[in-house]
Amino acid sequence: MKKFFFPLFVGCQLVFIVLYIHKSSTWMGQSYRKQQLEQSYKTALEKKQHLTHQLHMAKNQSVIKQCATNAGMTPIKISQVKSLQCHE
Amino acid sequence: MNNYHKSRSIIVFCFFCILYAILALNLFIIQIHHHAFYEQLGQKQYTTGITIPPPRAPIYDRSGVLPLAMNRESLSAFVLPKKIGSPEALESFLKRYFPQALERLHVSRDHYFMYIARKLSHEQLQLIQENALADIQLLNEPNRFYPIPCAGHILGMTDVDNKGLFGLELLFDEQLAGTPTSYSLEKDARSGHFYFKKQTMKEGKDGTPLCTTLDGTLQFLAYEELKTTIEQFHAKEGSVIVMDPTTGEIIAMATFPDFDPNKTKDVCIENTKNRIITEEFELGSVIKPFGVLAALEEGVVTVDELIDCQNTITAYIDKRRVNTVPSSVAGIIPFSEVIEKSNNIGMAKVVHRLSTKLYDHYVRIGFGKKTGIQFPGERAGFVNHPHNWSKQSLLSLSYGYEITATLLQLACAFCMIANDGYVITPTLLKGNLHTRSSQPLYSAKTIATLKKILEDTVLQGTAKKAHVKGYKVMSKTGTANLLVNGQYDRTRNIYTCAGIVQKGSYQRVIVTFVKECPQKNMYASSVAAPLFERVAEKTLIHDKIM
Repeated sequence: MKKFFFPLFVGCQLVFIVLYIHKSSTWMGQSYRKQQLEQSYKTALEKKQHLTHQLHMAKNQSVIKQCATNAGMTPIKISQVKSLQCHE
Repeated sequence: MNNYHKSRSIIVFCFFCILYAILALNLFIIQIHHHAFYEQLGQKQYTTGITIPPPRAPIYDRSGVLPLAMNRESLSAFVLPKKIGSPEALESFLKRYFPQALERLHVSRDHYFMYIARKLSHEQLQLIQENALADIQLLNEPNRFYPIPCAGHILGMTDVDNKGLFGLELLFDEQLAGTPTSYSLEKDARSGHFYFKKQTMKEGKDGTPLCTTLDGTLQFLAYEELKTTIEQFHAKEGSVIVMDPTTGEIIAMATFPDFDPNKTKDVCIENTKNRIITEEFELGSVIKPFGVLAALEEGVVTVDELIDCQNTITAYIDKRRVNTVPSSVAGIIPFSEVIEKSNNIGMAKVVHRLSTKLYDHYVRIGFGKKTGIQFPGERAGFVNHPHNWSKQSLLSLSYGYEITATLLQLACAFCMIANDGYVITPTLLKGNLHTRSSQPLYSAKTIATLKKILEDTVLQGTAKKAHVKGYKVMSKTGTANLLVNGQYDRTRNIYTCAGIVQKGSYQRVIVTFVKECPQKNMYASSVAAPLFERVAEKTLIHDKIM
């Protein structure tokens, strides 16, 4: 009996140790992956913010007005606007 | 011999027992007695706390899509004074481009960290990058960007730490900033940015975006028109406000001179004021419609009653002198024409019949008290109380003197006319339950009569240049002298045009204001009224009201 249970006991302990190491390393791997994703998310948010800022810089009304003025455009007057009647 | 060996064994045994006892005692002291201390020491080594503030929430215009204030990253330059590798090169660079930082560096030699400059401008960043000094490092910091700078006096701005300084940024600072989240991280000395365990100590909350009633595009258009008028007449100041009278929403609110909230270093404090809310003036004839309301409601006059304006510039009523401008001189004319021509003599004669009731009407309309808008620094204006009246007061009040009002109060008073007598509370925030009085202040007949008079003022009176063809425009102009050192200065005037633009159920109240044109013989009919017309036109085209 002794010959059977002692190796069984040692074997179980080794299995537990291996499982524990596996669990810890998996946990650490997942934690690392999570942090990588957090960093990617943060980078993506910063990029989004930067692009949104660029978009609104490009849509700057003063610049658009300047471009329009340089192109010889004049502001529209209400008398120039004609409405079309819908005929069915 | 055996005894000798035995005693030696006992001595050695006792010696080791003592040693182990000392060890056990030491372990007891460390693990049990000083348990808290070492646990704390361990926590300090392996645990670190970080607090992450949420990004500041944006401020949107009425569409909820166009941001009026948004975040952007900016770079700040710093050095680590204890770890400077090339002090000569660094000092030479700082001396040339950042002399104040150099002075601070001399004082901060034993500090771990020192900013050179925060929120670097494009030029500063370029300088640092071109010189490529290893000791100067950059770090990202949140910053605020305002796509429509002409709304700066409403939005305000933030300081270098992204906290609101004034305007809506200050008023709603807590809402926009949110609350930070605190984490506890478990990491060892070599793990750098990697942590083993992360625990949330205090859950924060993201900032809540603010949605204003402003129309970003119309704000810009109104500002551009105002700027054109200021430049045309070389005026000192000007303002424009556009409101929806049904809801009290402020759609555009432009002032000049203004400031660019994106350029914090160039800000002139004086220009950060929202003059429409924080400055009050004796507005002159533009107040007359409210005297008309009072007179009609009290029944002291009818629209067709003939009033003798005495065909003169100066007349005496109750032995008090009343002046009128040459262009408004008239003889015996109907009361409606007295307003169309803006004759002070005729107006004073009618208002004289009201006596102290005029004061009650002015106060009832809202003059002399704040409008209730959620914005700091609002002035209440002033209406001279009958207790303080001199013999001139009633006459002065009839044509807009001895009564001061902000442009917002004037706009709200015109909203009351547009709303057929119902008073509204102005608002800059979308979604606010607009407050409308439960009862109209004046009868429908009185309001309708006044509207007709104002419409005629545009068609054939002093506000002809405020007319927009194809639309119903009801407006009144006013030119007033500024009070300087207790005396009215005829060379320094303010020019106002306030009115309502209407087509079907669509209505907008517009007030335009220009202060101090150097040219002589200028009146609101040629300064403020054309600005009113252009702003009205832009508003109608923008809102597609054809």
